[in-house]
Amino acid sequence: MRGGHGPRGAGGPDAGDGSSDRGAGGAEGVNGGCGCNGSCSSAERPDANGTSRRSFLKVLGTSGAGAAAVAACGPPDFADKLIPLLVEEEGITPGVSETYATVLPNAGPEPAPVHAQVRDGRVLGLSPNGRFASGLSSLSHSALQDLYDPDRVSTPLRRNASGEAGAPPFEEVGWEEATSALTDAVRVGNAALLTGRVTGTTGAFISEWSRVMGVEHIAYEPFSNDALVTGMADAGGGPGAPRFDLSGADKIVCFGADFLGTWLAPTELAAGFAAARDVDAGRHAKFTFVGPRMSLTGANADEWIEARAGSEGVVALAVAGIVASARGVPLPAGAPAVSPESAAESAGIEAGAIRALGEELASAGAPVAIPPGLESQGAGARAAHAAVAALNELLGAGGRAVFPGAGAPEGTTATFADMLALIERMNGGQVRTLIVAGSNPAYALPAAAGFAGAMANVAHTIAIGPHLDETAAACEWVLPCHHALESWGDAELAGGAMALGQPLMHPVFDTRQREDLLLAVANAAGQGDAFGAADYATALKNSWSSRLGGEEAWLDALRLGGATAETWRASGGGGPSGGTGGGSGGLAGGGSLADAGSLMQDASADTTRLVVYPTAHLYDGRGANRSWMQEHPDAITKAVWNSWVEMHPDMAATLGVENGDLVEVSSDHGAVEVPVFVYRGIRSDTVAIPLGQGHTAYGRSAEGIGANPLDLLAPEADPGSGALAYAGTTVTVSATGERGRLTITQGSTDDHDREIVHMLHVDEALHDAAAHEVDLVEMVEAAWDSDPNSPYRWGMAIDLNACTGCGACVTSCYSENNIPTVGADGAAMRREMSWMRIHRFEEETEEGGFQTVQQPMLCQHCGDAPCEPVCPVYATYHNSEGLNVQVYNRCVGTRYCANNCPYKVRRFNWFTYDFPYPLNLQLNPDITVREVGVMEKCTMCVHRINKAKIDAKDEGRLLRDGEVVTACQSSCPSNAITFGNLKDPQSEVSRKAKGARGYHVLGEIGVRPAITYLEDVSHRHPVAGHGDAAAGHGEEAAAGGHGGGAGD
Amino acid sequence: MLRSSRVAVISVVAALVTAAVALHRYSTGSGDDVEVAAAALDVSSFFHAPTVAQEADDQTAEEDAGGEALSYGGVTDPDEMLPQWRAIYDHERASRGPEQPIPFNHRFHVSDLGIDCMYCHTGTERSVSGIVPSLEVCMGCHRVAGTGLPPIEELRAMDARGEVVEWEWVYKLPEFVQFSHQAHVRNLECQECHGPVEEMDRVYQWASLTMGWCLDCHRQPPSESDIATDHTLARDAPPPQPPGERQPEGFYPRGINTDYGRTRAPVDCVACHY
Repeated sequence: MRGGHGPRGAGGPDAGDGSSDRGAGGAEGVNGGCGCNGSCSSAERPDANGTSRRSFLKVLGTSGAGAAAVAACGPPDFADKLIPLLVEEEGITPGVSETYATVLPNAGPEPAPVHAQVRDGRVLGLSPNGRFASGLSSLSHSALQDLYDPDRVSTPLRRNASGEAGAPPFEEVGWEEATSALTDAVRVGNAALLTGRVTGTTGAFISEWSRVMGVEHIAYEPFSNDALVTGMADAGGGPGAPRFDLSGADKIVCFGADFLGTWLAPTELAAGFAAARDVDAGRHAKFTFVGPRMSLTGANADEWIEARAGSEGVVALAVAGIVASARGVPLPAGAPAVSPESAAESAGIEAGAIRALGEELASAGAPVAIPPGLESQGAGARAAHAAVAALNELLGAGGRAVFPGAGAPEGTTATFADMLALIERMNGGQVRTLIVAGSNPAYALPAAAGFAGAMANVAHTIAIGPHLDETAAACEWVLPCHHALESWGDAELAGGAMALGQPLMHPVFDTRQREDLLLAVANAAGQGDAFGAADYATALKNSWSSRLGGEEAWLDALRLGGATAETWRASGGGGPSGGTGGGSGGLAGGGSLADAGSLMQDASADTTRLVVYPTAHLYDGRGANRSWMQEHPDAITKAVWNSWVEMHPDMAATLGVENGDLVEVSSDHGAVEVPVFVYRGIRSDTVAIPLGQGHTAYGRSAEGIGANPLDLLAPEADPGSGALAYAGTTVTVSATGERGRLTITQGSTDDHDREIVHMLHVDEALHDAAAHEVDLVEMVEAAWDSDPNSPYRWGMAIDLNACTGCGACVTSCYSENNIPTVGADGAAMRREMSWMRIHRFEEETEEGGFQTVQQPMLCQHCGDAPCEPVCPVYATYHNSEGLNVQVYNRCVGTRYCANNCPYKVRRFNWFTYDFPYPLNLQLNPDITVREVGVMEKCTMCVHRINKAKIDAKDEGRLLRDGEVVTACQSSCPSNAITFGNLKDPQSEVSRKAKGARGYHVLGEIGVRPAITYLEDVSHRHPVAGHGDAAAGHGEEAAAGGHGGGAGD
Repeated sequence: MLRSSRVAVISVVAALVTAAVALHRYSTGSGDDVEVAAAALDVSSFFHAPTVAQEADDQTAEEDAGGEALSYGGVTDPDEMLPQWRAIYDHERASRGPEQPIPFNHRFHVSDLGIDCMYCHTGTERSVSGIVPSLEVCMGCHRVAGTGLPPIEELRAMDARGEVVEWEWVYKLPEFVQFSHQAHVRNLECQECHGPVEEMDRVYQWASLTMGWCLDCHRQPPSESDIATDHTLARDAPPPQPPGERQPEGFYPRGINTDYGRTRAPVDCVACHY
């Protein structure tokens, strides 16, 4: 009966608890009903009669030994009978995972080429396709959860015309009726087809369909790079988005873009960023971040110049002026001269900082500048991008680090300004049919733009999409379409490569491929001949085969997941969208550069500026109905399941608010109430609110959570580029006197001198790398139960210098290990189940300010583990290969182990968490689904180790280095995680763990962890007592070697 | 013989497992079912049923000696039994093999026709699962063979309708056990775990599938052929220590002695439980 006391009475004394019922997001009730999305347990469900104890017994009843916890919400019980295949397919064996290559074209800022593990007809896991991608972001990975989203539309819907009170808004209809409705609506004329980003054959197909059917095709992405593309073109860069290669840079300056999280191509840029700062290879490019707030990207910077949002372009021009005079060259043609003083005044910073930055850039050998991002995209964004392009030209980065036109194509046809025009035409009755297929404008456009209202003036509205999101919910018809993992498709990648997507499983619901629906409309109208194929799969195959030269090449491309840039280019023109080859020409030119001088801001105005920014997990809101993303702590605030407003401690003091207090942020266009997060990494005249929350539809995890800051924005576009002006709104912030519920999963950003994270100055790291006093690997092996018979001692090295804190590893871990999400209420009670988390610590520096250090934290698999001796039933013990093992079927749930763990990495199942159908289809059959009363934690992917050992045994050999890759390691874009055998001195993990930067977290307590962290490297000096190399390496060697540090 | 003493214990354990599964079935409804589940939770009642467990043992040993007339908690009609008795009844039935939708006869196919196991169960050598052949494999012969026999005609009708046979489980492991056929079929005969399938008209669960039964084999010293393929096995290591003679290391036995490299197969918990 453990845990049997009232489910709401057991919360900790943390701030998140006290006022949970007044949550700003109105989170109460979201998880009601049976479809809990893994976010609440049966026993926690609201029960009108207060019979939670009875339902608790019910939970126990369902969770007998061996009864799968997955069977709770009434899915078909597949395990009841032994059902073989009807016909055996070559290459498919029940119980064996096969890997297929495919692509997620719209997973996030960049298309995600992936390898998918498919077993018994279900896609179980994703990993990056190494041929085309360096990593797999959290958001892209969560597309897997989207595939099995219980809230997906399962059958065609028509708006319920009965008008009765209490009638459901939609009624289910057959596909025949739905397709004929689509056909009729297109036939009416004056139709518009609204999609998201479409490239490759898919883009060509949709354009062709629109042309043949006389439908206007509008492709719109809320976070498109229109300002970047037009600005670069002004600077002579040619059409298309650029590609940035940071790997060779020795000085990086970013003028605001969140390029490690949400901008352009985050995984590719993160890989390049890590390469440019690879201290083991003898280099470490200094990174300066210019912007109003330290984003995920800014937190990785060695230096932060806190310029106002929108002033980055002026700063770039001033910096360019200094570089030009230092190098004795003229400014690029058309670039206005801006003095550091006037730029500094406009940006609200010190002129000295601009001078220093300019001089650093001028003296650097291979510097590169990265342009502003969405956060600072206001009126004048195009000119700001042109200014940064001009700076890059001056720095000689064109063709070295910046490749105009070589990025992944935008795949959009409309800017925000075009959307405003569309809304106007909708209101004027000039659009009679609106088909929305892969876009959610009713949510993603500022409320003041009035898209939702304009939809009422369109005679026929049809949504083709997997979700009942805000736009679909306002449509007359909803035609559910396949998820990317169930579809054929392709996407153009950066550098001219093409990724090919194939369906990997039978559709979960009664859905259709989007393009096939369009094709059916064309066929009904007698226009089907134009496409030369009966279905889209054939059309795609024909297009690829004819381009690559035959069936064999097509099959090769399917196997590899696409065609590399060389193959694609060599196969000649006539492709879907023609050559996208990387230009490497100069960036010089004029264009709108002259306008850049007009970016000067009125610095005297005493106003509060609003920054709205996308987060790496929710992005433009598409991640909001995935509980993995909602429960993934934000990279900076570590908050979950809510929105917040970041403000400087000074402003918080003025308002008299602290973390979690509810404030009202209002502009001329609206107001939102959000809890406060006090953050030193934001300007004191700026507040920042993340985008992606505040859904009114979309599903159980999204609805009613947080607030949508788009409500505050004016529906105004940058006149130069047509892009939505996300920046430039001034707001009023006032305290409401109430507490909101802001669940922050990390207690403190200060490690209280416990040296949990180590920081090293770059000079020490590069030149004074002292050898270890103690060999960390030997030390781990000397643990008293180390087994000399075992050829393996599994260990891990985590490079804090490479880690950017993006959290890709965390999502991989959720996906691989059947980790449940606990929901907003559960998280507020500190019951999150993540086996892996990212710490964010703020280290004070001698130069002033703080340096953020991100640190993945997971079970350390200690050689002398404190959790082991306290277990009364040997449920946790040390095995001969060095793993700290948790045996679920032995565990009786005393929780002594978690109490004794110095790293807080053990998680307890307070309930049997549900995986409502079809989320249970994603469960990894190699991993036990844990039940109430069981402790769990990181296993170092022991199932992967065991599988690899069985394979190696079949071949009569030992495991090779690199043969076992943990889930977290596989998706890391910057290669920060290395797993392997510490007993093999040649293994990569041994080499890294023996390196000069290695240290053990809390090494002084002598638990001999198997995870060696490599110190973070910064261009700033940590204040005395921190990051001292000698102290860092003392560890267990000298008694009290760390004692002094701890007492400081 | 050696096994019989253990099987009594095993039967109780297995009955518990089966009972828990049965509870799951009884409790998925609402209202009154909750009460049933609550009543059934009194697991102590299982331990007051030694006679039935003993009977189960005898029945298993005697192999297919009937048993439908046995009373369980004084009731013979399965539909009227209390859940905990019903669970034991179900387990008993299962121990002599469930009735299958098609009365497939292993004795005939293996002994009389001489078909190799892996002819039909192809793929088992590389899968965690023991592969149940697809209907297409059956029809490979039965398009021609056995025409006119009622079960074969039924099979052919299913093939014509594109249906698969939904077999009853015979061997079913709890969810917290990760078993891989791939790891076992290399060095073992199928019969070592599945029993004399070639003599079974209807396949039944021959082995107890308890952890002790698994470990009996895993704890053996490695053979020469084991050492030849598994490089984690120590060639010159002392033989494994018999259970009961192990000495705890240090003041507390924090490392469970897994006899690494000295046993034929891992006896480490995490070899199967994760």
